[in-house]
Amino acid sequence: MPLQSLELIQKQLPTRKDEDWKYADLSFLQKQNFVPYIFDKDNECEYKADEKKLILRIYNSSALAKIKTLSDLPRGFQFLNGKDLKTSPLSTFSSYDNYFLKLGRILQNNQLFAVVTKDFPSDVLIEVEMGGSLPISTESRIHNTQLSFIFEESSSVSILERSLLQPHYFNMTAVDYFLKANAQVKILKVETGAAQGRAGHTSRLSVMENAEARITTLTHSSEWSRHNIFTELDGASASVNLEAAYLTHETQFIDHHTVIAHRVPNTLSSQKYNGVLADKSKGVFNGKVIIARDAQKSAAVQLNRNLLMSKQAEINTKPELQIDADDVQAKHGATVGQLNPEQLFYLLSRGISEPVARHMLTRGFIEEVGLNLPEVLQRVFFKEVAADVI
Amino acid sequence: MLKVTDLHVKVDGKEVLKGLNLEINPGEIHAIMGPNGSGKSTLSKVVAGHPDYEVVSGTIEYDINFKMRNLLEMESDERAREGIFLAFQYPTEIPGVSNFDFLRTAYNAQARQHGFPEMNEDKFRLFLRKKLEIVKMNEDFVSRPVNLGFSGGEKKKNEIVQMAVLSPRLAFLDETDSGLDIDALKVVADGVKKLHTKDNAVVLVTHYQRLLDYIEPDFVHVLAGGRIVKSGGKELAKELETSGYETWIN
Repeated sequence: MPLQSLELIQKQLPTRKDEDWKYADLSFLQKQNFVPYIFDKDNECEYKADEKKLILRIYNSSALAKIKTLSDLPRGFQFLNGKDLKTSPLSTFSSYDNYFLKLGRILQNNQLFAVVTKDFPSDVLIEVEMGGSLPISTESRIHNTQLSFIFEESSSVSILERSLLQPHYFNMTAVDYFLKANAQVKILKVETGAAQGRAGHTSRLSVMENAEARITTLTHSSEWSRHNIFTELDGASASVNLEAAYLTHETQFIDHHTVIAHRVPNTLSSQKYNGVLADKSKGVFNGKVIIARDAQKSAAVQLNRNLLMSKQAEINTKPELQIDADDVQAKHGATVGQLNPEQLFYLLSRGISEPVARHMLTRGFIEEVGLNLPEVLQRVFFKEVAADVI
Repeated sequence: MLKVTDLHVKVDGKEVLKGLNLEINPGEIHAIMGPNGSGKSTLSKVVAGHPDYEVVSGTIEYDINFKMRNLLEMESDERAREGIFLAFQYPTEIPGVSNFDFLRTAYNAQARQHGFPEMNEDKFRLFLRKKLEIVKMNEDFVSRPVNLGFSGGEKKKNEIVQMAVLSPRLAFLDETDSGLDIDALKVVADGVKKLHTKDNAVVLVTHYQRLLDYIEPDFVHVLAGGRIVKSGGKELAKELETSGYETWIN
């Protein structure tokens, strides 16, 4: 394993003095002697035409981004190796970096690109499994999986992205999405697997003219997870919607950091993050919206709402606006509280018992986040929420 | 079926009801009228068990299985399952909870209490369809979140749908006529009339006479200064329409 990566883990961990890591304590990586782990397994791709699913299993730790194709591929879809591209689109994200990406770059220098064109069948769901099938380990390991999507002009696609967690692993995922003009992409990200799993995710989006991206994140199972989403709105009338629901219990820790950069005029962004925190769990929301001087007539809405279900539960929320243009609409807000007493009374006044009413309201607060998803993703979202005992 | 005796109620530390007496029997329609701030809404909220209303003294007794029970000892959900219903003046919006799930959960809670069969989704959908017809409500409304984005009229109709689903024995309709245009008012009034039987009672809490043009009350009460200052037949409402509440204030 590269010495450099060990050094990054042992000596260069971000500390809680770094503003970005104020509440996310990564010291367990050092204290528990986490070591980088390279999993030599080829990525797999399988098209199940009758189920209308294209499944991508991304392991991706080998030096080369290899793909084992288990079936014919649907039209409008192909893989490219980063090495075969004349220019890498990754430079789009040069203004953004973070600790996980740095570590990931040392562990892997390859990049796999999944390219989707407008010919891709609109009723086929792309299911991505990030970091599955890892061998059982008692040693503490850091594992990285990465993938980039290029959505060509006017393509339209729904994606279910599962990050598979496992005990003793720190699972890093890095997924990039490049939306060319008029592309429409809807993504549901869920973490599944072990409750003891820990993870650090980074998603980067570049959205061009009239393209529209929606990312909905549902987190409820990991012991410790950090989610970074960075968005560049680079084309006029580009828009992004980021939504998340997080449900935490016991001593879980879930941290959402978002940065949305409006670079050009008439760009739109909206963020809705709803969290329900119980027991001694902790949550963080840090959302930064940047509206550059040239991004006139842009609009940004950012809302983070939290329900604290116990006195020991904790949320640190920090919505930030950095606006350099003068003709924009921007609003942000954060709330922390209990269930709305008027809503509770309304349900009680219809004969619904208090525990059931509380459950319905809490679930409603979370499910509200999934309502804008296409039906196929909505079903997954609701099923995952229902599986979590609130 | 309901007997309110010398009821004193405080809201935010201020006494709003100051010795109210009222008796309601099955099959009756009562109208409670009064100027703004007279305590009209307070009475219905107290009967439904809203936690912000503090009963200082007095009693509310309610007939359950031929026995008068102290209503104030019952939780609001229990009261509802025993047939007390409040149609809200401002129905609450509940994002994320579908009207259908809400209605079915409420219906099944009541069914469990009284030992009649609960309904699965399919059965309830058929049942609900008939209830929607009562106020000419489109079936699309049931899949939407409770009251969210509903117009004022739609919210009021949704209250009557809930009343139809739960078949209460005693329904308080708190300013159900407010914010309704004339067509919606007729639909809502017709709905209430269809739901009224000799076994249940309806209390219309209203500021104006106009609802009473469509639903004829057996009794009209004037509530002013926290008590009922005059009771009479339907002609009292007409009288109020011409004389106003002026006489009763102070």
